[in-house]
Amino acid sequence: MRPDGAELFDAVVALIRDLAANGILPRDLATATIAHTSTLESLALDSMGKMDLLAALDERLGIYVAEDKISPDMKLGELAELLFSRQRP
Amino acid sequence: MQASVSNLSAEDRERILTQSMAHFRNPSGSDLLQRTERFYGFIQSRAQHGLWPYSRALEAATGPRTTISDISEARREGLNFASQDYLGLCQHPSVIDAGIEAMHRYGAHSAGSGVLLGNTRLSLDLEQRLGEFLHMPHVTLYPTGWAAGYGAIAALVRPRDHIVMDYLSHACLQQGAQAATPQIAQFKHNDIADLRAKLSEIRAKDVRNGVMVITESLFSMDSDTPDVLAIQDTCREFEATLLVDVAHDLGAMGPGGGGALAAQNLSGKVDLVMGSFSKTFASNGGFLASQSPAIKQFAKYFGNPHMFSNALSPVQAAVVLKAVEIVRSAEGETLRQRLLKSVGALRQDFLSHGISCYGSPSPIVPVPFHNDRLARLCSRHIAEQNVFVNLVEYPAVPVGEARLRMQVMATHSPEQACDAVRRIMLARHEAEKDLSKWMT
Repeated sequence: MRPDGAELFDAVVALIRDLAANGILPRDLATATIAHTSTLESLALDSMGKMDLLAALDERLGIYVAEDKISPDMKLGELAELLFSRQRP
Repeated sequence: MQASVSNLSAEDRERILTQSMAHFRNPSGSDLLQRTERFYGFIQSRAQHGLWPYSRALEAATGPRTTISDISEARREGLNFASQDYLGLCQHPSVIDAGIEAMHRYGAHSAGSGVLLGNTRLSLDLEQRLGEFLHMPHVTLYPTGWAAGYGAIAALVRPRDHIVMDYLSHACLQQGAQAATPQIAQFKHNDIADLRAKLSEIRAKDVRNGVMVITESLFSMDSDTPDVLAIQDTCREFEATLLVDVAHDLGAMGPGGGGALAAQNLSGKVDLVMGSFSKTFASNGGFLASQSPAIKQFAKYFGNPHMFSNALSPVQAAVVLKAVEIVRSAEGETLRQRLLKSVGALRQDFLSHGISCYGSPSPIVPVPFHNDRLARLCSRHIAEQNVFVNLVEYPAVPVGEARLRMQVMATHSPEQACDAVRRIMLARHEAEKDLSKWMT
């Protein structure tokens, strides 16, 4: 069964925390407050950080989003919706 | 034989047109070998559609026309705007003779580090001649330009020190900085006010430790140049040390071949200069130059790429030595004028087709696309037009700013430059038609 939007949001947050704990994203994101309204910019994800997040989403969740589909002001809730819409049938 | 687009799913088409190398830089999993496979699959899928314009090989001498093979071993003969041999010296008879003579006299190999017995009379002469050319008499040589950038920073900066660097600085400078200290700030590209703000912030907290400011005299993706005098003055105001990378312009531009520093009347007036021989001086190798014998010795013994690499081979040293001589001669001046004439023809011809190349005239001509998918598709059609240029994509440039990086040589004629533009415009037209097929 495909995960719904809420489950995908939780998966994104868990992934950010895991990448942060492993030093791939800024380490303080491992414990920072992350909300639906948090933007990629507010999480201090630079261009390479965004790419690392998208690559991990692809590798671990199997959902591909091109880098040019997201902007610094995109909210994590919006990213989860985008991931939901791009799941393979 | 290229694979058919119609057999691809929409997602596969999007991946082939948009995924970048950066997507694969942090693979996970316990098997270090197996996890390289996804990246290999990415290369293969692009290559099957003729969209992997990297790792091509010369099958003949580099020059304005040459023969290459791509990763599928397909050979093409055509116009070469992908080599960085700006004055065309790699084919110069005197340069070739100097290399042959060195090979006969010293053999093929330096057989040792420059701090042991790897130097030859040729490499010592090169240090001296290069010092005279730069008006900075104390020169340390490195096996590559990359090693010079990395090694110069790693030698001089310690973890308690600070680095403030232009955010578009070359990878060798970025990685040298990361190896030297965690205290790295980046300033906006060529933005003196932002540099000043960063230095002011650092000096408000720390007056005890060193600050190195890093920039380039000609940025290789944008063909632009900072106001080096303003940067050097700002450094002096905040007791910071300036390092300028002159890899792309030294020898190829400026009065006497002195690059942008000479054009700004700054030869010998910047704290530290590093550069590469691989653009204009017909060989691998790099250098750090300063006014101080102490800096030279410190960089030799504490800059690991110098100490723990073999010294330049006798052939490399002889070739660069001869190239420096030509660069400084009347012939060098003639070659630079010829180079700029072809650069001007190339940029003007693109402009006549409505394309304004980035930056100012230099051997590097960056051709914008404003559409990364189109640029990737166009790279295939450009090769089919028998023109060889380098496609530069994210992460080398920001997302949405993929471009062609054309590198012009003194051996190109203005007619060849215009022929290349004509062929690239035909390729672009074909790519635009292709794009609609890929996007449906």
